[in-house]
Amino acid sequence: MKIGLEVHVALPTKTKLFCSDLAYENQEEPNSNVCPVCLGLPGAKPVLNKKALEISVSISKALNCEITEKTWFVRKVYFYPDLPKGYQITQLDGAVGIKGYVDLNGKRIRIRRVQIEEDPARIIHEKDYSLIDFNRSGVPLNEIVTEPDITSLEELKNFIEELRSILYYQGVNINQELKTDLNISLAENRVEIKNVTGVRNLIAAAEYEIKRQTALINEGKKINKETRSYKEDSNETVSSREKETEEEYGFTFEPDLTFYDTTKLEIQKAIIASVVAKELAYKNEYREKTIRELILFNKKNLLLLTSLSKEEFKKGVSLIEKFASFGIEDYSEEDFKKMIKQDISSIEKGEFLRLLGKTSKYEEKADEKEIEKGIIEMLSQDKNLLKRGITDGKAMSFMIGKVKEKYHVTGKEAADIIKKVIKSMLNN
Amino acid sequence: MEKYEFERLLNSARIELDEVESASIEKDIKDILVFFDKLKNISLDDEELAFHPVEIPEKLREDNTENKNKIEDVFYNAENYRFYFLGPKI
Amino acid sequence: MTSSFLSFEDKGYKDFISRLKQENEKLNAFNFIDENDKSGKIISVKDNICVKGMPATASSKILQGYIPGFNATVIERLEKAGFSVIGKTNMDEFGFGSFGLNSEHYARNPFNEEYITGGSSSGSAVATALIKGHVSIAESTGGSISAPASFCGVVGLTPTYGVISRYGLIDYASSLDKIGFMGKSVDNIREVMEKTIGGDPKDTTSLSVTISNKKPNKLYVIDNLMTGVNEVIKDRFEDLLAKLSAKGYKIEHTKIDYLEYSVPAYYIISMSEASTNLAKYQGFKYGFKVKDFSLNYNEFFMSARKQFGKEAKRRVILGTFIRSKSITQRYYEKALAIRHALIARMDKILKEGFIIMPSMPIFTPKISEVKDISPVEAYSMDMLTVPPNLCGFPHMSFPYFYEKGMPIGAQIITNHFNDYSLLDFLSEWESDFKYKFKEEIS
Repeated sequence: MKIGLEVHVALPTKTKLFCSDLAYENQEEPNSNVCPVCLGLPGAKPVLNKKALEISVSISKALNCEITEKTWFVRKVYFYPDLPKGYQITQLDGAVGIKGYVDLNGKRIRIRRVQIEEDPARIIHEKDYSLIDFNRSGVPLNEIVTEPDITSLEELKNFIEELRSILYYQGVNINQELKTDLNISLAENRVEIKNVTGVRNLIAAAEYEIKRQTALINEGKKINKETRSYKEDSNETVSSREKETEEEYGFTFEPDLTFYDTTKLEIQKAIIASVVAKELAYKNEYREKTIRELILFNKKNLLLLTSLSKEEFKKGVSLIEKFASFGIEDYSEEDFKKMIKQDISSIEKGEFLRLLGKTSKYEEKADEKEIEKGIIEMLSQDKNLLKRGITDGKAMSFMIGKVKEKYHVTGKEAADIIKKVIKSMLNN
Repeated sequence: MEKYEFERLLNSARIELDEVESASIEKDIKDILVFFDKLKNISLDDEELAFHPVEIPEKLREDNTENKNKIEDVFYNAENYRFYFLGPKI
Repeated sequence: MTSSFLSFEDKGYKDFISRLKQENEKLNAFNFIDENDKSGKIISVKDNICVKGMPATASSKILQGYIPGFNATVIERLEKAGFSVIGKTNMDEFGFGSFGLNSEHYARNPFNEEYITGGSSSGSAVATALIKGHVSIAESTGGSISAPASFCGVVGLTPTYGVISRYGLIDYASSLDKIGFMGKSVDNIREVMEKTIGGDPKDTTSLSVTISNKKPNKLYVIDNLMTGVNEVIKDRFEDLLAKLSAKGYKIEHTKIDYLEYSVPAYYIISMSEASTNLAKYQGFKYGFKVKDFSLNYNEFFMSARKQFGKEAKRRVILGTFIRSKSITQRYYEKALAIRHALIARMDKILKEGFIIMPSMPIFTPKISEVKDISPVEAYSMDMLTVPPNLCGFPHMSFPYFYEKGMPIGAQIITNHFNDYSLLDFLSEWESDFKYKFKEEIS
């Protein structure tokens, strides 16, 4: 049995791959995050998102790939209403990562390629037309292509589990959305199951297909080389009437883009840390937000962490979380080294600052009465703020920001006092 | 190019031709391919490939969002149904 | 010759437009003329460059009705500098053509309506010849500025690839498309160029580089390019060389290897890229609408793409063929290798001097003479304009002689990013050359 996968994962960026529309936020309304670029309007041109490239290099490295020094893109032409330009910008020979592997208890699953590509639009099928939402058009993806090295359902499960862990530390949560094309061949001919959504369906599709092919072999029947799709409702795979279209694709160099140098990316440091993180503590030990925002894409914290021994690593991460939660940003390497020796597991802010020796600046924190007075003043000047008050997230975070800056309190402290003041003002 | 190859090619390009047009374009294409075949005789195996005429240094975009379009602008040129683009049947 | 732009301050525009519309009835220079009042210096814009609120069709039926909601970067910059766009100029559909005839209502030569304008920036050349102190924003992929400039007796400047942002340009072949200018005075062209050059965060292939003006005193004639040129044109060109020699230029003769492959290499690259750039036209988001959504999507797309003109269909089909897996190697990569080889060889000569040649190998033909020639014959007419275009070298066609009342142009080429030397050359040329036009509108 040979199983190969093409796994598509969405990258944790703020904006899309080639334009500055939001990739994930504010998506409720269809076509609310679109522009000439992701609508494929004539005249628009793509510009590559730096962070998407950095994350892709990092993922490739975590999958033990060789990194292509000058990575480049191709156009893959096919006609479907969800593809606004009539081609998808993707990668092939110039893919960011090639020839990687994932080890599963001694069994090596080779990774052929990690490629950066744009997601097509979301399409709703209706009887006599389709409805298209381009919010998803241009969301950055990595397609991870394995060699057909998986030889059992058990191995497939292990591989996905391993991939989940590795990608978790890259800020990618495959539980949220995973799209996979699956190749399974028990005999000579290869069967491809396209577009399986989610981990559970992937396993179920493979399981069904293995049974189906086994039964055919036992009956002495031939297995057709074909493309099938997985039906979730009936838990089966069915033959797609779609023709083999691979031959038609015809890839060309994407002339609206150029070659991108992966050696000078800041991500080289993230790679080190992600490898350290991977080695040290595997399963769900750190918060996703910590990994993503405080470690992988924070150069200073990365450097601090990579200077630690394996034993100290975990403590280093909690220390970084403490700094962040107390709103301390200007700590130096010495500060960090000093604090790593302390027991900070359940430390309060005051004590933390005392140990750090920075009480003067941060503990100038005014007493609550003074803060309340300041807030009342702010709200009296801007009645609109008072009206929008606590129900409006934007107004709230604006006020929290002001209070934090002026009185050196944490966000939570600021929020508590603001809420209290608003309530009392509204009640009067 | 055989007839069936030409038909397949039209299908890949999503171009439909009437009979008259088909005959004349098929002939043109054969002539043009002969013209292109001039290139067959030269060997440039060691030559680099110029994807652009001048070197294009990389240009990356910071992961920041900008002001969005107004929804009226988005649908100015298209039909929509509840803010979805209307498209052909799948 | 110094000249300034025709410009309007609140009044006079309506009268000007009515005169222009009258001329346009005969010559089809414009696909669209804006009747709303304008103030400031006026320019016209090729119909494949997006101007917010004006139709953009690239002379294709498939874009009929499309009104972009955004400006091309060149337009953004020019409007900021006080220019107003009066309309969109006629062209060969998507830029596919050297004669201007691949447009439903093709443009006619302002010197004689029976003659072609050249293409693909046909309307830009006519508008420039027609309007006093005018500059038209045009675009060249393989010679679309030099050819019509030469046949219509105006100056056509095609800058180095990447110097002017392509954002907002409706793509023909992305690695070859260059926005450029047509005009009839060096000062006007220089002003527009200075306002538009420079990198653009919205176009990856746009460049922020300093443009130099190192003017050499040598002019190279490429002997193996001259073999296909009409004999009388050759004679006139010899006269031009004599004139330039008298002005102090040293004339040198040389040969360049691989030049005979430049036209097929150009068409291979451009068709291959064009077939992907035209994949976006599917008949439901903008422009021509199929309307019958119950058609299966493949039939729907096929039905939309019937709107392409014959040359567009030819190029999409051929481009698709060139891209198909099994033959990529044979055509596309070889064409890219030829481009590389030619750049190196031309660069070596351009370090020493300008390259000079006639812009077109023939006299301006009558419409009836070229309407039905075969594609290969038509493509071969690009033998002189293709080399600098394929290789992204800045070049300029300028009028130098009038044969039986029709203008003839010559083309000079310089090295990448030395674009301003072409304008310095033009400045010198204009000091004792008098442009002729039938009549100008103001």
